Amino acid sequence: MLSGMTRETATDPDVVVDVEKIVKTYRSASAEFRALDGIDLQARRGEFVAVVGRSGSGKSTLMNLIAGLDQPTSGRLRVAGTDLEGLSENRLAAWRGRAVGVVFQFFQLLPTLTVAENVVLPMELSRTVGVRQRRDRALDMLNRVGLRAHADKLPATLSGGEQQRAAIARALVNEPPVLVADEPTGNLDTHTGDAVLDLLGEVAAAGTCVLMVTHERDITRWVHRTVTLADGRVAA
Amino acid sequence: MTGVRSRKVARDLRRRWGRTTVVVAAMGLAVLAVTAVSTSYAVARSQQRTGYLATDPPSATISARGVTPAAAEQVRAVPGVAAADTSRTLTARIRQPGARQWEPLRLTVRDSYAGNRIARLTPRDGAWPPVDGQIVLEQSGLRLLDDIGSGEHVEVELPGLPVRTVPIAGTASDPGLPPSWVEGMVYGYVTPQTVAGFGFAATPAEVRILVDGDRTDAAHIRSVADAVAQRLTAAGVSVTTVDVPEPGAHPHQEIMNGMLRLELLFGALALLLSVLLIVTVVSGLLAGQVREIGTMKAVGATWQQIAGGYLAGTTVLAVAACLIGWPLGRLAGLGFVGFIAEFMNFEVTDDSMPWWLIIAQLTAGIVVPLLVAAVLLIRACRVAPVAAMRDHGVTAPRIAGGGRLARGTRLPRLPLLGVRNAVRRRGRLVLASAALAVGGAMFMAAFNVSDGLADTFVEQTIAAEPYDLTVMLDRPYPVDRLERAVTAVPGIARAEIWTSAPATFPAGRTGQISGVPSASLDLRLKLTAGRWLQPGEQRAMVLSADYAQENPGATVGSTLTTRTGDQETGWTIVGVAVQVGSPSAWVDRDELAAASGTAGTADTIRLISQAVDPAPLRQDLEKALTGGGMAVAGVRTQDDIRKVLVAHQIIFVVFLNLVTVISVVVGGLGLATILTVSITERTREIGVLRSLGATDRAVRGLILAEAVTIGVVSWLVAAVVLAVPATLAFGSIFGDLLLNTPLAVTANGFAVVGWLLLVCGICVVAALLPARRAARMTVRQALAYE
Repeated sequence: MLSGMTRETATDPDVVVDVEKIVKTYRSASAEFRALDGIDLQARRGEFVAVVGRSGSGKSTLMNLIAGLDQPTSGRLRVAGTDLEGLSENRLAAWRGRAVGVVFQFFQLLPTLTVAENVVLPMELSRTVGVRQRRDRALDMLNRVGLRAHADKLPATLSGGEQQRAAIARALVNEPPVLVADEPTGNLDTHTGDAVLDLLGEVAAAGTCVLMVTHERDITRWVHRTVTLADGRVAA
Repeated sequence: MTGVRSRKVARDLRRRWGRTTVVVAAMGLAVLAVTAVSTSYAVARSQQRTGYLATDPPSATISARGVTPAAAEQVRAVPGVAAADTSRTLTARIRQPGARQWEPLRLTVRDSYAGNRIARLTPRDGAWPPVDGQIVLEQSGLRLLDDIGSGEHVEVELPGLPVRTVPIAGTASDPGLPPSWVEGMVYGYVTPQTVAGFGFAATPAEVRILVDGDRTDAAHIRSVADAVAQRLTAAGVSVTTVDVPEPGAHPHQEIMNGMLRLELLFGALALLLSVLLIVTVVSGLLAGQVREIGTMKAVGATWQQIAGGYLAGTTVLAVAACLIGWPLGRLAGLGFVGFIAEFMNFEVTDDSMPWWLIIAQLTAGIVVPLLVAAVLLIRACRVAPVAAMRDHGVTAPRIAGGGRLARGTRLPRLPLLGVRNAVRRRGRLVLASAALAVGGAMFMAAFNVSDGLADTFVEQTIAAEPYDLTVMLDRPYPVDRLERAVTAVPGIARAEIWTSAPATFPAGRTGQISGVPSASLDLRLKLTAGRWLQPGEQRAMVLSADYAQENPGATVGSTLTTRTGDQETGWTIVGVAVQVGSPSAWVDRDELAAASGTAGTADTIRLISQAVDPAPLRQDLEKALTGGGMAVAGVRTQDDIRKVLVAHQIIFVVFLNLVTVISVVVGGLGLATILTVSITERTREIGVLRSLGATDRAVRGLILAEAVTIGVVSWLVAAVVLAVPATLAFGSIFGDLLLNTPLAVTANGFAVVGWLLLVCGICVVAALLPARRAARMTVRQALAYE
């Protein structure tokens, strides 16, 4: 399923992430930097994939492209059954709301919304759930991540681990087939980080494809496989 | 927009209540400025016109000698005449009993005021109409008489007659006259019997008519007025002049029109400043939201959904701003209308505005911020979510030389950082400095133009006619008698004998022609074309720029024919001169006297005193003239003339000051917003600085350095780029308005340096709160800031 894999699998309905020869180049006034250099990657439903590598290896860039947060310079991206090439920012946003959940290192909860409201927001934006059911659904999701009691608090009153779990709840509330997590434990202590990884493992077990960028070395007990990037290429 | 997003909008506004307050204040100020200008424009325009026209001002005034009641009756029978009356206007003097200073008095003598249909006066206080033996004063003149009131007494002196003490029956308002305090002249109304009691038989010398039909049709009025003049002539009356003023135009209409034009200009400026301010504050609001916009896009928000939320928030702010700014703007506008009304001598009886204007004001207050927000939101939403979430509001300096700022200077690092922070975001620097620069340009232009007004309008006018004393006689007297009286008075450095005569010019307007000694040593009028009169020249005339403009074809070398009574005189125009007010033209004294049928006589003495204070000279000369059997109608000193000139320009000075104040406040508010945003964005950076040992004072210094840098940039733009065109534009408008020539404006050094100090002061004040907030942040708070 890594680089060099035959393309027939691309038609497999279980393949929800299909990255083919992706290149991402950043240009500045003085130089050109190739962050990703012809990456191929595929992942299936229920798979928990860790993307590792040194700083600057292109991990976060790859995650951003898969989540539609950024556009590749060249190559083909098919995520959750949609070819992302040529989609406008707006179409990408609408697609992302239903197809991909995103978890950030710094949580990125909206500070003026309560925890429950942060979770309601994707349902409201994507209109995936009726207005009356949204709060119940959000509370269910918070219950699942152990934050039911904190539903009506503002994010600033929660610990880092709690904020990250809230962010995961928000990412999952629309039941996307793909969850992209960019160093979700990078800002947490070991114990809290393990709890978050447990949670992501449960999410994958429930059928969601989880792609996670991480610096953690000992993650084998949670993930199904690890993709190592170096200098914008798949190293292993 | 549904639940969660509307709650987010509400909480965003509440969470940053300080910034929300500044934004509402800034938007409110914009609404205030636009509402104030448009309100005062609309109300002043309609009230001045309706107030003046409601009095039925005369369509034409025919000056004549020997108007009899029978002749007046014949005038009423002329086709096209709706109403006619007769009166006599006398030049006299008035003062409080025992006061030293006389004030000029224009005394109207009329048989009956009760049934008067033309230029009706409105009674204000006491009795109306005036009864025999009493006087009614026009209300604006009370200020010149120490606010004397009804029931008190005044002393009145008609030329050559003993001083009389007269009770004030009451006061009235005459919107057809410029206010006394502007003209430096009191207006009074009496009956013929009252002046008969003074020893003067006041036979009517003016016939005023109101025409039937279209009273705005100048040609129609002219034909009726000419018919009246012919009827009077046929009845044996000697007609001197036929004056047909511009229909419906107030005596100060040109100043009013100019003021309204300036208001429109200022309205456009206020709108520009408002848009700048709104762009500043809305971009400030959005700058703090870039990461949240990125997050919302990451969880699936389309740009329409994001824009909807922020536009709803902007609408809330704009509505709040309208609720505060609109009533205050209306109050300010009506306050300015009150000032204009006082200056123009009309009363505001109805301050309502057309409904469409109110809707336009409120719409502008809401739509402008929404349009600005929409444009900025489109830009903000275009940022890819990953870039938006990385946004810390800081980028590398993009202004050329930014790197050199760091290397090529010996400034301490922290102030240098403040300077570099100011130039980090070019767009924001442009915004912040633009509002301040426009304010600065207005400030400097206001000083420059005020100087120009004081110099060109007041001092140059006085320097052009540097006579310490001007003595007007009740009628022409033989020149040799006048010369004898002057010779008998010691202390006169130089004296000139002048004369004057009314005349009708080709365009139909009546004016006064001055007859001057061709070899006048002291008259130094500024010529815009041609040359001054030369001794021995035949029928030569220097025309005022005002009249040259009104009489097409009246250029140097052409012939202009004036009419005084039955006599028409052709003059060759040899020059055009700048003149404030009267006269309309200058010709040789002896030629004018001959053309007026009073050869060898003159009616004015103008002199320069040997002493600084011409007061003793004034008394001696009056005594000498009276002793020689000549009656003094009025005396004006240079100070009197200066006061009148200053009063005429005061409305413009007030206007310029208002422009300055609003510009300063708008610029300051814009800067405060920018600094607040800038500091919020760099919270983590401040945390890093503090972790490296930066003290409270150092952090405050950093913010102040940033603010002052913006101030200095704005000052440079204002002083080097904007002040000159702004000064020239205002100078041209004011000059054309008052003098028919652009003001000679020069740079006021005080304004240039003063604005630098003021703008630095504004920057420090605007930076105080943000700097305090930054200095009070703990390292932990700052580093943890998302």
